Amino acid sequence: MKRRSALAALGSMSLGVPTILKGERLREPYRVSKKTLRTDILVIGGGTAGVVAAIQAGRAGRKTILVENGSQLGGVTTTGGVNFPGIFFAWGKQVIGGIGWELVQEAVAMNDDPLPNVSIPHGRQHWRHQVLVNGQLYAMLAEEKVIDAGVEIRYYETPTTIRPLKNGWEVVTVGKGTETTIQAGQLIDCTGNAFAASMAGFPVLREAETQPGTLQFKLTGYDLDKLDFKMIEARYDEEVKKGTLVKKEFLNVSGVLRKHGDNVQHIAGADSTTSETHTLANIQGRTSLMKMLRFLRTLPGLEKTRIEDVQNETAVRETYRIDGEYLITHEDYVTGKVFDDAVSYSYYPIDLHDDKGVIPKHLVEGVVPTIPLRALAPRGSRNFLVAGRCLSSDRLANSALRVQASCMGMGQAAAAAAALAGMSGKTPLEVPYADLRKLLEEHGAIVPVKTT
Amino acid sequence: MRFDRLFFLGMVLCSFSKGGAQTIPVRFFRDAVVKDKPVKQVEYRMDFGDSTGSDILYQNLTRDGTPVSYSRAIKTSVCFDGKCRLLDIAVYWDPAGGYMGFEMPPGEFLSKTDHDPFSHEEYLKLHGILSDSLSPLADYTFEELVPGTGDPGEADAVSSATLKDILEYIVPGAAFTTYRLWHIVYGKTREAVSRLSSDIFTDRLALMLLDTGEPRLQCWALDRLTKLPDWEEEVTQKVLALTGSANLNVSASAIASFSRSMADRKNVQAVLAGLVSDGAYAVRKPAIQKLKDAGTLRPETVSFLAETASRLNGDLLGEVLNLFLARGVADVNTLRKISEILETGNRYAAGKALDFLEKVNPKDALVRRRIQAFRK
Repeated sequence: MKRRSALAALGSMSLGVPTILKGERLREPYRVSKKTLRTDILVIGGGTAGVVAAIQAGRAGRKTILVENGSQLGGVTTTGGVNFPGIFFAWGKQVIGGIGWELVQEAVAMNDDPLPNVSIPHGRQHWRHQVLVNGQLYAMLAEEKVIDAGVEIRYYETPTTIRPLKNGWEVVTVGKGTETTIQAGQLIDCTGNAFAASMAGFPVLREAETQPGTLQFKLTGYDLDKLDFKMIEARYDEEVKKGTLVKKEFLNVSGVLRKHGDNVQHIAGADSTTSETHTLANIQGRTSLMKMLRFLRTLPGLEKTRIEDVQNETAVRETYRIDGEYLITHEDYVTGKVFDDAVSYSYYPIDLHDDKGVIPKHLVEGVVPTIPLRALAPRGSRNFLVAGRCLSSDRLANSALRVQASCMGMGQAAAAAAALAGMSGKTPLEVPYADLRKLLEEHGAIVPVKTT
Repeated sequence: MRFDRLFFLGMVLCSFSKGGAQTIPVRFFRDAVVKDKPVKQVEYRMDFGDSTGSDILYQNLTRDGTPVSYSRAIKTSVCFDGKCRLLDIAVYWDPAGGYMGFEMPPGEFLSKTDHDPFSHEEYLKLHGILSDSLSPLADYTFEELVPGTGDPGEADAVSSATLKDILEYIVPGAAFTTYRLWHIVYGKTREAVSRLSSDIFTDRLALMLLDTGEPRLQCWALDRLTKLPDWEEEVTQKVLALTGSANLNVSASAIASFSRSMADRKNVQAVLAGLVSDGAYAVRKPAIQKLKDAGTLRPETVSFLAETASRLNGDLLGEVLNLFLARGVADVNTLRKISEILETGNRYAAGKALDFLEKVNPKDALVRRRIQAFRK
């Protein structure tokens, strides 16, 4: 722009009259787009459970909408960077299959990754049976399958009000320039935080102290074999004493380096329920990492340490749970109780993280816990289910139930129950169990069998 | 080395006399899964990089040259408080590089702090640790395992405390022996064994490993079968049977092992089509994919899949229809079967059927009527 015309433009702007440059068009200010949608099933939350729920609902032939407040699907598995979902196998047999396994299997195949050899018992290293996937590829595969199932995805939207209708729910969501009223016959809360359940008026539970969250990152730029770990630990302890580093955020500095940052950080109280709490968790995760990075780069052998990758969000382990029609207890879990309305298996050690770390308590050989449909239904609810870590369970049981494979199994079961309920004009808990089993098995899910 | 001692079931109880001298050689082996007996031996001299003074790998073969095991004679010093004694032990691997067991010459024994001999329970513990390919010992240096030892050199039986959470992965008082042996078992030797067996891989070796019933050995063999240009019928039958294994690793490897020409065969396509219809859910798509990889899709396979189609969920249906499209399947019987899905009421499955039929553009009046009815 020539000096004279630039000055003219400035002059015009100062008078509040926009100057139109070549190629520009004057548009009216954006008005929030308001619309009303009707659907059979609404899934809120496109994370680990929500993706599977939406696909199952769509494949069951139901009109389905998936609302996700982020920019991609997969949740903890993708945005959270916990790209090693598990555990799908117990004691040499597959116990969680269906749509969740389909996603994992295809992500592994498309990335030429190996599947773990599950015929070798994992012993005390349960993570050996978790399946490493390319998180970004998983997110794209999930999106592709959700779309293929005919599901309408609504990114960047979050519910603001949820109220019951005679036969379903009305949910108002807001997003970037949108305000959408969605009337759904069935609602499935896959937020992981019981956010929709709480908004719909159902009581939720929360521990006074919840498990810490973790910002996943990857460190590089150093040679492990050349590091003096004694010196590094001594220097780390000095910084902790001075208060410049927080011990409970990184319990073991050698572990941080040896694992190159994989799942080594603890952020106390990390909570993804609301924008404010999630903002705080993200900032705390990043602040903690930056302090650690700056410290490491002062040490001999670590001067060139750098971040190769860091996730966009701090992954969260525990927030709210529903008060369900049934509460799965620790005793139920560790004894592998098979419920009459069991819809999915779960398999993971009791795995409660705290500020001292975590010591997983493994299940006794042969035990495979199950999840009853009642644990997915808020007490007194109709046409409403949850799937994911916010299911009704005590804290210890929840520390195992919360993991990805179990959440995938719940997502598929919840959607199948919702689909059948919608087709028969019932609420999910009224659906005949045999029908639910049949639909789930048709779609590859593994439904627990009670042996007497 | 006596081959007839190698193969027996279970772990052998050893008897000990006071002072550590055994009347029976110390020998601990996993259950024998390879039943064939070796009758000859080939030596391979190589650098294992583990400074054990042993650079020979013995390949133990049957009369027809099939490897049934490999072994190394490890001789190295283990020292404590300046006193050293020789660690003299033979370690055995199966043809896929898996740990089989160990044995010691008569009179030899393993010892701990102050050279106390191992008890029977400690031998059992060591054997169990060496059997664990996923041991955390893989992830630790010896220095980390036993803090304060500095460079382990040839020292063992260090009295400093081991890390609490990995105590169970070492024999107390014999951290170095445990650590050293585990890393020998799962180090370069394992790779060398697998490579040597791969180099002489035959139908005979494949059959021997497929017959073991051990998933690890079966997968190892299946993963190498694709390199054989043709298989004996007995091998084909075994592999077909393994496509239905309850172990997903085995069934997936079995399906993947069929070459393009093998996948053309009538009996192979029949099994693959059966898996699409009634197999474990996790192998149904791999079975469809293998049919896509085949040179031709047999008419009887098409007919079977068309009959099955209405029982499949929409996702699998879509995969089968993609297979039909790729192979130009457009016979009227198949199209009529697929058009029936338009009337099932599941809009997702019906959408898959419609998409297929529109691409085929059928001329058959019945099919066209069904399409028009569905569109309305």
